[in-house]
Formats: sequence, structure tokens, C-alpha cells
Amino acid sequence: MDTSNHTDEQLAAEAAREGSDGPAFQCLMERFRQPVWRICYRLMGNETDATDAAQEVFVRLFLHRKKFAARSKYSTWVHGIAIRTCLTLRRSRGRRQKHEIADQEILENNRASKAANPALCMDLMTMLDILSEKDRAMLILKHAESYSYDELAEIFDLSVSGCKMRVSRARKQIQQAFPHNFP
Amino acid sequence: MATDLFDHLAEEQIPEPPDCFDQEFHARLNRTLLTIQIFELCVRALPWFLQHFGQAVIGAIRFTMTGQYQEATHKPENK
Repeated sequence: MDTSNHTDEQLAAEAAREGSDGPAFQCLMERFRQPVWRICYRLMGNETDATDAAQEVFVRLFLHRKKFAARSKYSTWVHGIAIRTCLTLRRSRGRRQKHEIADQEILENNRASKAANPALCMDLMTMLDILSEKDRAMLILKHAESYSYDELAEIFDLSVSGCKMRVSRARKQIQQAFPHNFP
Repeated sequence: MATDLFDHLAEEQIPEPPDCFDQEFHARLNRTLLTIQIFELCVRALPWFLQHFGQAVIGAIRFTMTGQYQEATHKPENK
């Protein structure tokens, strides 16, 4: 089956008819591997947890592939599942464990990091930990992945104004907690 | 160049997914499917098993107490 010129929605419908992870699901996985990985890495904060979360996302996509009702774009549906999975995993693991792994990885990777300003990114990620999981996720997706407020509203099942308010409130919360970082 | 402190979040480089990602995903999916199928088998087979095994046990108790087998509801006709 040639899946290269199919839309995501067509492939999703095809994957729902497949008994196992056939060519349609494989193609979807190929298309969404990178976006899902990016979301998971951003939200989980380290490679080990991001791998675990991304695999869990694809398992859920496979198990729930028949539930996609095409009320939204398939990509929005996938992103929603990815974000909810990450939030659930972060809540279930607790912050203490996350910090232990993240600190260890940061120490190991810091020397080889190619980021323009890794120390600043690390500080920011530490700052974001004072926020609730949902606010943290919204702020990261808005600023790091350039999601629009419309996309955030659809994914988090909120109104656009509600999203704007939450992002703004989260920014203020960070600015109040770390005033020396915001001249 | 980022002007807002929060825009520095976008500067963090994302590594590539690990090479064994697909392999590990398929192993995980197979484990999950196996667990689900074993669970479904138990949930569906248990009621059937309990019903039939329970009838046999009740029949055995009844025979022990009364010395009589349960009367068949549909007796074969004598020809």
C-alpha cells in the first residue's frame, strides 16, 4: 500500500481497520515520531523519561486508534494524547525522582551540550517547576514549541481567553518568584 | 535572538530519539497486548468456568446430602 500521499486522517481511518500495526499505523508513527518526541522531551525534561513517555504515547495511539472521531485534526489529537500522557507520567513519578534523573543527565550532558545557552535553559526549567503541571506544560508549549493559543485551547479543552490568562498568570508567577531574573 | 527570557526555552536543543526506539516500542506494545489479552481471557472465561464448575459442586453436595441425582429437566422419551 502506498501511504506517502495519504493525509493523516486517511491513514488514521486505515489504521483503525488494520488488525495489527500494519503499514498505515507504521506510516503514522513515522510521521509523528519526531513531533511526539519533541513534546515528550520538552515536558519530561530528560531523555530517559522522554523515551518512556513517547513509547507510552504510541502504545496509547495504537490501543485507541479506533476512537479517533475526526472531530479535530489527527495531529491535534496526537499532540493532546502526548501532552496528557506526559502530565500523567510526571504526576505519577513525582518531582523528587524526576529531579534525581534530570540532575544526573544534566551533569553528564552539560559539557557536550550544543544549546546556545544551556545554563539559562536549565535555570528556566528549574524555575518552571514552581508552576502546576498544566501551567508548566502550556508555558513550555507556547514559548518553546510556538503553539498558538487556538491550538492550546483545543488540546487542553479550554477557551482561547482561558489559555491566554493561564499563560499570562504562569509568567507572572515566575516573575514574582524570581524577580532578579527579570530586570 | 530571543528578547524574552521565556523565549530562551526554544533554544534548548532536542536530541534525536534513541536508535532502539522502534524496537523498544514494539516490545512494549507486544507486552501490553499480551497483558490485555490475558486479562480479557480471564474476565470472559472465569464466569463460564464458575458457572459450570459451580453446578458440578452443587450437584455433588446435593448427592451427598440426599443420595439422589438432580432430576433432568428433559427426560429422554422411552421408545
